[in-house]
Amino acid sequence: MAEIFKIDDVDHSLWLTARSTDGFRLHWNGSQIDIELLSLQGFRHQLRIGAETHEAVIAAFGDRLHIHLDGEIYEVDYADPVSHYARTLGEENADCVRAPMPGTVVSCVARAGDAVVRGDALIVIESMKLETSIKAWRSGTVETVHVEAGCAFERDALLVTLAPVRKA
Amino acid sequence: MRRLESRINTRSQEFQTNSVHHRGLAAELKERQQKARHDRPQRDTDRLARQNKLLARARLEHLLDPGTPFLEFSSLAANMAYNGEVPGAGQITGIGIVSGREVVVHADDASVKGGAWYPLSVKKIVRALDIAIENRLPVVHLCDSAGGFLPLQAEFFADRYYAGRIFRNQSILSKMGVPQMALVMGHCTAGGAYVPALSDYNVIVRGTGAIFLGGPPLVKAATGEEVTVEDLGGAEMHTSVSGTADYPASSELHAIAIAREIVERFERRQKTVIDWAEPEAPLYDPQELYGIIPKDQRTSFDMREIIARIVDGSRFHEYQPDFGTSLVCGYARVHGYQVGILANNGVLFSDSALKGTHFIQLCDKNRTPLVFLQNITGFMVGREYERRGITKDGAKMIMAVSGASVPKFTINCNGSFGAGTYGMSGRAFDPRFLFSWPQSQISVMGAEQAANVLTDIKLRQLAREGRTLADDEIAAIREPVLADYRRQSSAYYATSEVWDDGVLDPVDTRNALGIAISASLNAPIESPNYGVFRM
Repeated sequence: MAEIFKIDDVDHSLWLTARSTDGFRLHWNGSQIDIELLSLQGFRHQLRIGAETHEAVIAAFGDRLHIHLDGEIYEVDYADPVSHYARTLGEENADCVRAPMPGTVVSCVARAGDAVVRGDALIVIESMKLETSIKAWRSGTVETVHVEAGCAFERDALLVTLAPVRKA
Repeated sequence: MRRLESRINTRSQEFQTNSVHHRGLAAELKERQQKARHDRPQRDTDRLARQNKLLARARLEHLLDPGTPFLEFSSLAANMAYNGEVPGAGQITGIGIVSGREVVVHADDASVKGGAWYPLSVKKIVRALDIAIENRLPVVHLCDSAGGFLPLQAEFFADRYYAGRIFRNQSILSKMGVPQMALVMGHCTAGGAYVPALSDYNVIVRGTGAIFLGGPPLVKAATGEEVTVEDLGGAEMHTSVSGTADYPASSELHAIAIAREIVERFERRQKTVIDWAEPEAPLYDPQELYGIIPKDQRTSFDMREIIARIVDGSRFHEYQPDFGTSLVCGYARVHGYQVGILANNGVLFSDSALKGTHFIQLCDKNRTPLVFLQNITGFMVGREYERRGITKDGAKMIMAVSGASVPKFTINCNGSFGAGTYGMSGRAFDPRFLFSWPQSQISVMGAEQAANVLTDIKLRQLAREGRTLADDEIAAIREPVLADYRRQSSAYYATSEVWDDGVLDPVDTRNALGIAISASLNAPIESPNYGVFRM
C-alpha cells in the first residue's frame, strides 16, 4: 500500500525505495524518479530530482512539512494510511453519548441550545469513587441533556445528545 | 505506526491550574531528594573527612562511567520512618554503567548513622539484589557499615526476606554466573563481613577497610583477647594471610580504579533481542504531563494523553479500541524498544479484564515487554457484575499478569486501589521495576471508604452495648483514621516502605523506562507458560 501525502490539500499516493547509492527512488503515478535530499545549513536543503537540482527550505513539525521551493510555499502532510482510510468512515459523527458505567450525575455544565467546541465539558458524573467529565466529542449544538444533577443512571444510559450535523 | 492525536487544550484554565500544581509537586520531590541525598549532620561529614573517607555519592561518581545515566532506586526509602533520621535508609542503590557494563550498585552511606543497617536498609539491599537476580545484572558493592542497628534487630534478622536474604541472594547470583565486585571502604562487621566474602572479587582500602565477624570490643567481651582493628581484619592481614580479600588498595580512589579494571574483565553477554527501531522523541512535549494529570486525584483523564507524552513519536497502535474501553491496550515504542501498554481509563469491567488478559498473552507470544500505567480504583462491584462473573474475569487477568514471561514494568500514575493493584501488576506480581508519581496513592480502598467502614464497625459495636455517639464524637473517631489512612496511602509512604523502586517526576518516566527495559534484556525471556484460566 502506497503512502499518502497531502500537498496543498490534494492527496498523492507515493512510495520510496532506497537506492543502492545515495538517495531514493520515488514511485508516483506509474513513473519512477530518482531523488536525493542533502541537508545544507539550518533549514536549507539541496533537492535533486532526476538531473535537476533545487534549493529548498524545509521546516517540519510532526507529520507536517512547510517547504519553500523555487519561490513557492507548499504545505505537505503525511497521512498515515490507517488514519487516512479511517477518516472516510466518518467516525466521530455520532450524535449522542452514553454512560460508560453506572453512576450519578455530579453536575450538568451544558444546557440544551448551548454551542460547544470539541473538548468542552458537558456533564460531570461520578462512579466508583471517580469523577469523570463527559466532554463534547465534536463541536456542535447541545440538543438534549438527558439527566440532571444528583440523578443515578445505569451503564449505557443516554446522557447528552448533540444536534445532528446538517449535510452541506 | 499512527500518532496519537492529543485533545488537550494547553491554554485552558484547567490545564494551567494542573500544571502549576504538578510542577509544585515535582519541585517538592526534587527538594526531598536533594535533602535525602546531601543533608547530613556536620559531625558526620567531619568524622568522614578526618578518616580520609569520601562521601558515598562521591565514591559513586568516581565509580560510574562519566556522562552516563544512573537510575537510582528508592532514594526516599525510610523518609517517613525512624523520625526521618535515616535518609535513603542509609543506602544508595541503582543501575549505572561501570566500564561499559550495566551493573547494580549498592553502597552503604556512612554519613547516615555510620552506615548502620536498619530494617528498611536491609529491605532496600535485598530489593537491589533481587533486581540483579531477575535481570542478571552484575553487582558492585561499596561497603562501609557499622553493622545492623541492634535495637531493631527483631525487624531485620530472622525472617525469610531479612538480612540473611542479602547473603542468600549473593550466593544465588554467583550460582547463576552473575559476577559481583565488593570494595571494602570501611568496616564490614558480622553479617556485613560476608558481602565481600561472597563477592567474586573484592578490594580493601588500607587503613580504613576492615572485615571481621566480631569487632575488637566483641572479641574482648567474648574471649578477653585484645586486638587492634588492623590486626584483626585489616587490608594487610586479609590480602596476605587469610585470603578473605583479594586486592589491597592504598586509597579509596585506588580501590575504585582497581574495581573498574576488574569489572572491565566481566563477560559481555549477548542481550535478549526484542523488536527495536531507531528511537524518536515524543511528538507531544512531556512537560505537558503536568497539565494533564488532574489536580484532584478523583478526577478521571484519558491515559492516551499520558501515553502520547512517554512513547516514541507519540505513536500508538491501539488494540480493540472499541471493546472494554476502560482499559486502553496497545503497542508503542520506548527508546526504540517495542512494548505493550495497558493503561486504565476507568474501573475494570469483565470486558476490559478479558481484553487485558488477551493482550498480555499476545505480547507474551510476541516477545514484547509489558508496561502497566496504573490509574485504577478497582474492579466494578454489584449484583449484576458478580452474576456476569467479574471476579472470574479479574482472576483471568491476574493469572495472565502473574504468568507472563516477558518483563513487566509498572508505573503508578495516579492511583492503585484494591484488586485493581493486582490486575495491573502491583509489587506482588514481580514487575521488574515499579515507580510511582508524586501524587499517586495506593491502598486497599480509598481513604474515605476505609474511614467510613472503620467508623461503621465502631458504631455497631457501641450499638450492641446500647450506646450511641454524637456527631462530634463520630468525627473524633473518623478524623484520625482518615488522616492516618491518607498518610499511609501516599506515594511518599509507599516509597518510604520500599513498596516501589522510587518516586519519579512524571517527565522522567520515559528515560527511567528506557534504562529499565535495557537492563531487563540482560536476562533471557522464557517461553509463555500459564496456569489454568477460569473460563
